[in-house]
Amino acid sequence: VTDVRRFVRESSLSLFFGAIFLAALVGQAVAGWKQFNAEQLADGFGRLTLPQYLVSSDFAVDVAENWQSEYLQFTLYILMTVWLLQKGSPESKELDKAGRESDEDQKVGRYADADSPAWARTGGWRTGIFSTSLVLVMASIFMASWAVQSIAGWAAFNETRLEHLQDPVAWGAYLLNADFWSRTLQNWQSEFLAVGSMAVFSIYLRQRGSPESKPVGEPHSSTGVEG
Amino acid sequence: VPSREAEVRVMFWSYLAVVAAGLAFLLVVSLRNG
Repeated sequence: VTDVRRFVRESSLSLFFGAIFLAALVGQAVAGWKQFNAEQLADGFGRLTLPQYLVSSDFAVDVAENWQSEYLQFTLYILMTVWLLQKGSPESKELDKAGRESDEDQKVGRYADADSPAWARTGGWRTGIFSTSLVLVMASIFMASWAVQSIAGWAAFNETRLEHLQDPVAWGAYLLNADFWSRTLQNWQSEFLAVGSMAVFSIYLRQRGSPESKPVGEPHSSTGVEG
Repeated sequence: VPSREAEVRVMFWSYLAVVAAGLAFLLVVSLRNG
């Protein structure tokens, strides 16, 4: 019992977000299904059961378009904070630290500690890959979800066209269609605004105890200090 | 402690597996409908 308790405590952040992700996804599925059927009814078309809706391109595109924008947001944030700075923000590095930093700072190669990951010490392509593995994985998930959005969005778009007795469009044509870019950019704009807001608001605002904030008593001018 | 390292690894691979399975599901669904 104490082992389980300890595990839950030491993984509470991941468990909490995993749980509310699943709850929100279930909620999205049910609400999306009801909304879809209401529109079908209004247009004089047949309804879908929930399992049918879950394997429809309408559900797939709604999920994928949100996934891609979130992973793009974090990919860009991880990558841009290597070089770009915001004076006073705990999200920024200290003003003289812009860039990839020295091997010594990064504990790479001969500067690795005894308990450093093996691929940090070995040098060559392994250290090269490991040094950017977080961005590689996040960017891969972004590109995969954006690709899935394009295919699911294309299928959903063509279903609507067929219902209106219009010819379907090719996938390549859909990539240039306003529907694809409207879905894409409406998600991007909100992510970019939120990320910029966090970098800027955290200059003057605090959340006691959060590692995303500066300590409450830290001066507004301190850059790159996390709580 | 090795068993506690294993717990952390399980969390890492669980998240990666959920994302990969989700993407694979969405891809199959969209290709089937496309």
